[in-house]
Amino acid sequence: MSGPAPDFGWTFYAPLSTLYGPKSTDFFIFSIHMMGVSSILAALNIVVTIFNMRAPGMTWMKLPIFVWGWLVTAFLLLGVMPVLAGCVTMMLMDRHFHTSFFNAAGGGDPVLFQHVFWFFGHPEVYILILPGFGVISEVIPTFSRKSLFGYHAMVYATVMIAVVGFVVWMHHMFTTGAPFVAQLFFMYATMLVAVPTGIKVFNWLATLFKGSITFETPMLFAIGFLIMFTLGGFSGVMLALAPSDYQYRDSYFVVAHFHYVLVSGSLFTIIAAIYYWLPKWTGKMYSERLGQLHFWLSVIGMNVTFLPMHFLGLAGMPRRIPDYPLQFTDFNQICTIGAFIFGLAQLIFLYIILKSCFGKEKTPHHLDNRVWEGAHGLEWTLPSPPPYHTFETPPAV
Amino acid sequence: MNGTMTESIHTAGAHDDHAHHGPEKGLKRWLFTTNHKDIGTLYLFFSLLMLFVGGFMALIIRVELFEPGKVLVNPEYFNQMTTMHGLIMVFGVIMPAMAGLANWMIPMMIGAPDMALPRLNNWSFLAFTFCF
Repeated sequence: MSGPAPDFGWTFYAPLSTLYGPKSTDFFIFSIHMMGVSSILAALNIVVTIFNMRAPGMTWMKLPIFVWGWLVTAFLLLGVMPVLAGCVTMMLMDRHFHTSFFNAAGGGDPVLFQHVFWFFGHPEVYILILPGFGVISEVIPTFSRKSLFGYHAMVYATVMIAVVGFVVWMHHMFTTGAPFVAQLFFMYATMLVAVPTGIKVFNWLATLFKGSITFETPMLFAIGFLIMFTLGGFSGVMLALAPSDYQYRDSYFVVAHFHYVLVSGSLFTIIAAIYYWLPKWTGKMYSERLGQLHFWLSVIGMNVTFLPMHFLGLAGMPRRIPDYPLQFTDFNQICTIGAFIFGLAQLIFLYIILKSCFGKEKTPHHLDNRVWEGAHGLEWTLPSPPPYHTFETPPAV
Repeated sequence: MNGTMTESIHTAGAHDDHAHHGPEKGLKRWLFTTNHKDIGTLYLFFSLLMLFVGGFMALIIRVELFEPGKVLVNPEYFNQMTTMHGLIMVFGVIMPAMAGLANWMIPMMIGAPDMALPRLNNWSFLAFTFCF
């Protein structure tokens, strides 16, 4: 099959994707279906595992907070992946079976697409971050040598984020001509979700307070996350204000916001998790100096790339454009330089991972079970690397 | 190989090497595994690969946006880059990485021997890779 890849934005709005999408669009729809099936089955697996296979004595409020994060995320996946499947199926119908779900001439409405997509899309972004919150809630206590502040509040906040996250989707659609009352509701609900998120940030700070802190690489990424994800949250609150969003929407301000919460948010939590648990998985410690280099280059690269985008957006540069007016040139050039710094920094990460997984050490030295001094949890009672099968007999909790 | 292990005595199953053989070798091991550690590793390596694919697209975008006017690619191709960059990063990097972490860590953190439905787990991963 020849022709272009999907080119209608990752949000694949109809009617652009239905009427003008290239041939690859149908394969794209098929891929989304399969990926949704995979996610739903994986989420089911996770829910069943956590409900049924906890060690005796591990009550709900003793569950590690990373596991709580994934439990809530799994329910989100179960709730919204079918909606995405419905969305792309309607697209397929419109493309090939003469339906008019999203075609006004046939009695449908393009805005319907946006509702269905964003009903999936907003919980999706919580799916992308909640396990990461769980990781941070594991890493910060370990390197502060202090237990997580407010474990119960963290659990309730996670659940609240997930629940409220179901009723905010229209903040992606403020300019579609919705009734005033609807816009007001979605504005208030979106601002509301900042409250449990704020609770989590404050609890992480409280965990750090009077802790005995060391700054190994996982902790660096966790603290970097704390600061920069919060910055992303601030731009998020700005976007939540409907009248202001009328100006910010579809500009680089939005691009800056979601890259701050996705890159220095989600991605940094994943990187922190890798540095935290890779020594457990491989039994080898990565080079701390290289890890620190990776961190600083990533932070510098990330900020140089995405901070100017806030200003570009406020100055009026739209999203998804390959060409722009002359006045935006300087900041765009800064962004490009930052992007290359960030990109090259990830090669360091690649090297660290490959060395840890496949490198041969001159004098094999396997790590302790408790790789990190302040680490607590059942996984730290296992050898590093753990045997192929672990906990064949449940441990005592 | 097991460093200091006196404190893991209560995790009786943790290092019982009398449990017959270790994993098989070769491609079959990775294609047919039902082991949560292997599946976690598969998801994570897949995600790492996608990070560089999506990242490469981001760099093409940024090169094009270095100056006004056409720098490297035409607008249609640029739109494909922005679309695929977003799809790959969201669905191909973040989600599988989180899934990999889940598969590796959840059983070990709750004291379970594996996930509840290990064969389903394997199938989930293969279906997922097939999407790309």
